[in-house]
Amino acid sequence: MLVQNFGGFTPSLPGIDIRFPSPEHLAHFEIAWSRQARPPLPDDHPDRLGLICVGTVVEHELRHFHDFLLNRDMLLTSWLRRRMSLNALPAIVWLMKSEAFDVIPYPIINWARLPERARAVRRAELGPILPEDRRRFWNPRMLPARITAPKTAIVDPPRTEAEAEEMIRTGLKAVRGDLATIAPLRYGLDNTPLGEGRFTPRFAFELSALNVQFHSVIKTYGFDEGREFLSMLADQGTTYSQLFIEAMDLFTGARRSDAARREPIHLPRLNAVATWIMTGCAEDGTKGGPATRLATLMDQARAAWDSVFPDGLSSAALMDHWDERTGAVPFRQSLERTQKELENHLAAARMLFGAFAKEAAHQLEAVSTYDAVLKCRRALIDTVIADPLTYVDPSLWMENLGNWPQCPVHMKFSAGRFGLPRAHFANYPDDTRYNLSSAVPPDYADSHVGDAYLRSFFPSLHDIPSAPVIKHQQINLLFELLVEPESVRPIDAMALRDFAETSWGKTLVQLL
Amino acid sequence: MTVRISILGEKAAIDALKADLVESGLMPDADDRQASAAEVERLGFDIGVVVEILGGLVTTAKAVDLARKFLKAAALGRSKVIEVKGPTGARTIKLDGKTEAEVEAEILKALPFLK
Repeated sequence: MLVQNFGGFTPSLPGIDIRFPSPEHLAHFEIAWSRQARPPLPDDHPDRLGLICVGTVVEHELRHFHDFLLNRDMLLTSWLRRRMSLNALPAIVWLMKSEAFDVIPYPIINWARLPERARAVRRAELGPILPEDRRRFWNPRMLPARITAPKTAIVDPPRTEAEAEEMIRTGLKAVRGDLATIAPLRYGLDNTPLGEGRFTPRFAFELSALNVQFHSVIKTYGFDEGREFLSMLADQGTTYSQLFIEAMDLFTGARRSDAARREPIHLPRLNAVATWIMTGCAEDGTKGGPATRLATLMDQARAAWDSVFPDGLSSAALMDHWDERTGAVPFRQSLERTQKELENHLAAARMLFGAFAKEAAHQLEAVSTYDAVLKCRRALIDTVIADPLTYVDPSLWMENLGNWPQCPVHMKFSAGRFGLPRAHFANYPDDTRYNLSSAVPPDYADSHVGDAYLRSFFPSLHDIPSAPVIKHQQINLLFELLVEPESVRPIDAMALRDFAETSWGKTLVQLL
Repeated sequence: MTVRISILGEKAAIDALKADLVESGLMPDADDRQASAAEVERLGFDIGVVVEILGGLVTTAKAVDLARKFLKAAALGRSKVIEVKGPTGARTIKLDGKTEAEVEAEILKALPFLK
């Protein structure tokens, strides 16, 4: 398996994570990041491919951020998840502080939907594994099977148990409504001809980011290293990277062995595919989704190559051709329509929460974060609409990454138990924040750094402020555990359980 | 008595593990399903095609027996990562190079009711 998984992009923040397994990986990354020299890459280095991956992780993760801005489904999902957490937050705070029960089963919506008889069965199963004096389960009024999402804001703290019950009920209804809206945007396709398993939108996003990273490897290190990178993806890679190799073989008209024979691979077609699949809008329905678009183009290219890739078309003309061929909204219009759709969502939220400006300060702060997201999107789509090739062609996109929108970056150092010496960070930007989530013991926190939060990789006119992202990151995890635990890593789930137990005396029990 | 648990992993390993758990009587009602979209997003990078076993584990099961079965099943798959979740614990277990005793200790962290 591929072990060089150094980064991640989290749309619900939005923000980038970079993980460094050793000081050497960090040093290599910093040289590549500074763009001042080719990072040293010894032929006999035991982790040569790891260094190549960490040296190009900036491009990979920034492309995820930019595709997130470009793509309607991912951006809308991100906003709806934020709205869910805003609606759920007052209920979660009350649940944690209530003295009426000790045990909170989650996902909380699944528990609230169970009739009393089914809850009794689960209590009988779970009771014996809990301490005898801590078996008082939260027992809300059953949530009906069919609900209408409420249209009022949930901002006032409840004054009585009855008010709290009603507030939780309203919050859960709102969350459930948004979960239902999000599901088709995230689900993808089942068991396509592309392989067994679920073909989620992530396949499309990884294809785009790996394509950019491949270009970056060639630019940073050279063609030989580009071939090495492809070989690694083909031989050791993940399901995502194998799909990328398959798509590269298909869309470039090349076979994998061509790379080893030093024959040129024709990449512009793949570049156009990687961008076009991101440009659907609401009016496109399911055919607007990135996974559906990728699967469709792969199927059609296998069946009738020439009709998918007629000779002599530029990248933008190819994208127009696919819009016409699939009956989709032309991509320039589509990008504008999505902007309008998302602006309408924010305007509605601003109006709703603005009526309670004092009580809804936290909610309004989240709306402001998304205002910044949409400003970044505006800047990005203006460029894409005016000159698509600047985005489609990774070489042009990489020329000056600081011209593109930026988002916060969380760098995590697991080298050594106590992180890295503070002196190492003397030249980092002044507004960098340190040790927000690392395990560096308090005694060492003054002298060592376990994690660093940067405002962005590069200064830019368009970026997402980091303070609300950091704040939301901490709240978001608890929300995710209680509402959608399958998205939470076991290590985080365990930490949150411990926190709930020690801070609020609540036992969190997962329903499976 | 049984407690419902979840085991996530690569399809080849999970298919073998499910058959073993049912046959041995440790999880008589084991069912399997494709992982959810959220689980695929989170684990697909490391595991590939993610499948989940859901079922009631008999509470008299020995963690060491489970450890043995995990290691045996993982040998059949490309990915050596298994995620185990119980009502009060969860653990991602990297099986590659681990001994039975090490895996047993990890299982007990995820499923403390087996103690």
